[in-house]
Amino acid sequence: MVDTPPKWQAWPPAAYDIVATYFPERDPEPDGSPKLRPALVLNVFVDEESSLHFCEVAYGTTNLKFPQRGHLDLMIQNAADMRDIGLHRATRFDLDKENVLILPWTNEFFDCWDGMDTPYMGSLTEDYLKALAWVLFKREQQG
Amino acid sequence: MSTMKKPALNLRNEERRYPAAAYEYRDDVTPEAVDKVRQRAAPIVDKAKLKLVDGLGRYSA
Repeated sequence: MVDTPPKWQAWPPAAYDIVATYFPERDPEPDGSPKLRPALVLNVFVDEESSLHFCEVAYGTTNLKFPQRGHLDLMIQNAADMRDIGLHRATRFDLDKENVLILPWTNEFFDCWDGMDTPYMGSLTEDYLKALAWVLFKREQQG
Repeated sequence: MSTMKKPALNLRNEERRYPAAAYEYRDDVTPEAVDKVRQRAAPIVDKAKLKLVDGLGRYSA
């Protein structure tokens, strides 16, 4: 039997959206499956042959490490901003190049939390787009 | 035949309450953990001919 792709797969996210993606936690779900967590979409691609979409994502963590990582990553910790962006906890998006990767927009890598219709959670606001641009610029300067 | 429409797909999860699991993601993002996912995606990503449709261009190495 062929699995039908979920409906949300027909609507890929945009750059700078926040989406729910699987991540191999140290403490997985009771059935051994990985848990979902928010990730920031940096770029969206399409496969010219299959038309499947791909997202380049930076994973989020609530392990903020502000003193060590405040100048390297995108941190969202103001409660009003979190609500606007669709996050539930203060979150740091890790922007180390080795921690960013391209994933197919399929339910093997992205999914909805229980009760939701889509992995989409929200989008960066203009202020955070500027903050992201600044962090990426500083990283570029430092090589 | 019923004329009632099915509810539309809520593509922005508006007015929905997230489960408790959506609040727990404390594990740090490590190269080892990311590499596990990268390896799983590699068979699909490596054979794709990717064209940028949104964003500033590939960032990862």
